[in-house]
Amino acid sequence: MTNNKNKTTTILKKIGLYTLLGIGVFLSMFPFYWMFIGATNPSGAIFSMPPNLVPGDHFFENLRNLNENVGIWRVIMNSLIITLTFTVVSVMICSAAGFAFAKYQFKGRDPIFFMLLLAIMIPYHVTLIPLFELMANVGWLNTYQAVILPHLAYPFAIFLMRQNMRSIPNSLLEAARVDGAGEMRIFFTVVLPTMRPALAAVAIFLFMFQWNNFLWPLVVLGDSSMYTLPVALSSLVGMSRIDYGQIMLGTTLSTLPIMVFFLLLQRQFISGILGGSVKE
Amino acid sequence: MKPWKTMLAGALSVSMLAACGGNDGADGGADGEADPDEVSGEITVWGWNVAAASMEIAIEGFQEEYPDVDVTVEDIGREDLYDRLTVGLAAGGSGLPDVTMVETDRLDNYIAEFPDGFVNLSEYGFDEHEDKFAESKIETMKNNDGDFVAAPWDIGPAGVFYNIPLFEEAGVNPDDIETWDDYIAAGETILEETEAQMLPVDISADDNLFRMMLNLQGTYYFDEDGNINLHNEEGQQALSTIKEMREKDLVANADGWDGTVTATVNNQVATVPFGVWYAGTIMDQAPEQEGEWGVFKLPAFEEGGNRDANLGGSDLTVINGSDNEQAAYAFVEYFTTDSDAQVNALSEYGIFPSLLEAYDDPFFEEEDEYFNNEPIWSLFADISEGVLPANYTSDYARALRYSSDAQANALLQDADPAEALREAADMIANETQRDINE
Amino acid sequence: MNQSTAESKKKSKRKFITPKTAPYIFIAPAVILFIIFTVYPVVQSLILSFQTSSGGVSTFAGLDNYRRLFNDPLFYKALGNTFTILIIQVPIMLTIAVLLAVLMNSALLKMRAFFRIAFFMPAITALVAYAIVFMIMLDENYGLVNYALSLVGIDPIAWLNDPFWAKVSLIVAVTWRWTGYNMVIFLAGLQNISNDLYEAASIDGAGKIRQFFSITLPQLKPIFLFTFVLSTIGTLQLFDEPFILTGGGPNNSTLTISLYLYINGFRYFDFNYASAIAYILVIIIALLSWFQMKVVGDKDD
Repeated sequence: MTNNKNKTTTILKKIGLYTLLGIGVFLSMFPFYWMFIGATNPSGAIFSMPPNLVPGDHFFENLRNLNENVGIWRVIMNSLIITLTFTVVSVMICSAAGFAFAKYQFKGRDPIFFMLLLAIMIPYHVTLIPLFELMANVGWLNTYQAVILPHLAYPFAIFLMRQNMRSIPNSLLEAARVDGAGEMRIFFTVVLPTMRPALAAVAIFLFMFQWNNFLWPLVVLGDSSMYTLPVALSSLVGMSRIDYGQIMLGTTLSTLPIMVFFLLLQRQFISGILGGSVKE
Repeated sequence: MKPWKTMLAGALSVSMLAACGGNDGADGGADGEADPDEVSGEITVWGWNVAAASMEIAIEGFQEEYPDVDVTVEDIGREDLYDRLTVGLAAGGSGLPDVTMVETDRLDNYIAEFPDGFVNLSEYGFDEHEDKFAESKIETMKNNDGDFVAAPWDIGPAGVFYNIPLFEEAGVNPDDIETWDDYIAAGETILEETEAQMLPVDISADDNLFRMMLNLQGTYYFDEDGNINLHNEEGQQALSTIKEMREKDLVANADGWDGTVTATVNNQVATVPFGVWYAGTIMDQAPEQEGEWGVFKLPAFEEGGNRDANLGGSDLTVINGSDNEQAAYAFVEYFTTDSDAQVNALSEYGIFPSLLEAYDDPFFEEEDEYFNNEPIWSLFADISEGVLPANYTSDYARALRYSSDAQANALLQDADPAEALREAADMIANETQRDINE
Repeated sequence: MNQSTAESKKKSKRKFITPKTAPYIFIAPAVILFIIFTVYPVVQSLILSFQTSSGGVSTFAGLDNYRRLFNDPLFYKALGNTFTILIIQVPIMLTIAVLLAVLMNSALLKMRAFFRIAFFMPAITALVAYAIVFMIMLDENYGLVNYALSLVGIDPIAWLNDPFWAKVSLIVAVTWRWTGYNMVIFLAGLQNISNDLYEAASIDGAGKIRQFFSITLPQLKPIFLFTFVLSTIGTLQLFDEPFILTGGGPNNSTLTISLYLYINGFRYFDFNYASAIAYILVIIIALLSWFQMKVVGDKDD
């Protein structure tokens, strides 16, 4: 009797849970579904009334046009090269800095850390022109490094790494020193391996940031053969004529790599985000 | 300059990878006419979608005259182009192409802020072409010294695109619409008979109808002396008319460009008063509505009054600091003054020339299949010749914003048009130190 | 201990990297990059904010730009709008994010990876498409949203063309985009709360709801602070949504500080004034973040 009742409440609970989450998923995903509809239909179809919610057969035609207009594979390559290089190098730089801020006492530590945090608060439009001037002076306009370098020291990532590394017991580091390990070796062989979840989390944030980075690549990459995905997609929005099918398709394609990246790293991601900040 | 900056720059370039890319081309000479065979090098041109495409198809004809000049056209989104141009000019001219298009109403703004940013085309002899263009266009191409800083390209003679089935269903004859009063009366009939509204207006963000109405009456935000004028009689009449349409439920409140297109292609508005370039948009987004659209002139404010106005248009500029000014000028001159290049831009991409000679081309006599076999291009050519000049000024961007605010104020928050416009005029005066016409 | 100091002393003769120098070496790449690519541009634009320019010639103007700012009604309007959105949007978003996270943490749930990615997706959309999709969906006359409302008999709403609804639309759009992102962060926090706490509470007879308030929320406090500060900074810098959806309208009812900065710099070419706006914004954000940390009480820092 009670068993049965329990079973029923569990089922009811399950129904309630899936209904609530289902509504959430619907709200969250619907615009993507609609984008996909747009990607498989001719341009004007997105405006039809009542709304068209059935995939069309223009996928390959849109893909062909998109490739003709922006060279989509080349653009995806550019985005991948820039984003992956950025993510790998930035993870190294930020975790090294985070480690120093978390585990060493040194002169200037707190003011430098504070300066880094302050940088999160600066609106990006305001540094655009001086930064551009700098790149022009060294002749780096239109290069990958012009996009990669400026945000390598990503304050949010440094902050996150510092929070996580505070949870490393000092005794562990001391023990390694006693064993005669140098500071570099400690960092690479003791610290980094234990930090895998945090590294994954930071990597996702950095990847996401650079993959979607728009304004800076736009101004600094002049040549269309150097364009990244967001820049190329934006170039499709002209004055009086817009091919919506191509834009929707391009956007659908551009979300795929982040999804893959997220799926690969999400397990680590979950425990990495909280890091030191969760520990009380 | 700043020595430490140069040092920093040097240190950077030594320690890191060398730059790839770089500039190309030989140095062109300075002034005067040059022998086409002696002009050579590579130039880059910026433009956005259809405009970029129409320059692309002109390259072949250009190279027949200038075989040694290579032209690369970069297709950039419109807002993106301005962001890049602004950053490049503000950084002293780095990273910019040799030639770029700029919309006419934004030109003054750029020239005032970056007086050294653009090449003086008069020094290359562009003055000789002065008589070849629509008069209303010419003045807007010159700086304060009367020199050409841009070469006129397209214009936007405005007309009313109308949905033929809706007009027929309501029994309204477009030829009978001569004044805005007629237009409103027709709108009421159509609303009653078909439930379709008369026109889309992006009330909160774009005042293009208001601007066309100002231009119809021979004025703009500023008068010919640069004094603030949008709040005077003409402006009040324009905004009151729009408000009246709104109150009679003739206005579909469209959100931005996408909203306007949605309204157009769904048979939900009977007309769209817009620049000629909107023809291309309708054809692209609603190919199945072939034969269902026509065009008539904008209504006048009084019987027999002016029905010619302009909305939009653009021009080509040569960037100062181009490695190859001579070749850049050669392209600009060829493209803007060659009738074939201009007619191709129109026939292929719907970009309407300001070059008068082009209007003699047989293309203008053709009846357009999409537009119910009407000779709409000759109609627009006719409109363009009657357009009264507008003085955009270097404070156009501010005026545009405050004017749109006034429109939103009057239509959405029920402010009195005269008061809303006066408020806008005061704000502009306060920020620009310009005089207000009383 | 002695032994290790002796050891490292001995090493310091041979080695460049010691526990003393190591931190500097570890932070060096970040700091050098930071100085070149952040500090330098910031100093440059800070200088701009103390100048005025006309026709390409700059002159020193002291605090003129800042003075002008304090007398600019539009700046106050932007400030007011930004704070209105902040006060309403951030709590709504974080509440939804926590509730979602709790649901997602339920033992009854299968396919968690699917749900996580589904909720996270909005944060990774390219801006171009985001703009187009939301513009078309929110259109007053033909938008999908009003179409859906009409099916249940609700009159069309001027989502982007009414001063009140335009703010609502911004709040909805921002919430759509960032709730999943925050939910993932909260979810991580929930999974770190020890089950023992809940078991002990159950034995004491506390119900699920009481457990939520007496265990879950207090345990999540550090995460709340983290997301709260981040969301506050994000909202105070809010630019994308008003830029692409409303352009700040109608009649400046959705003008935000960052958008006003952009308009002054990139539309009016008044880079000096734009820089002044930027640094006032930095000061506001810094003060507010400091205040939040103090009030919520971050024991870590």
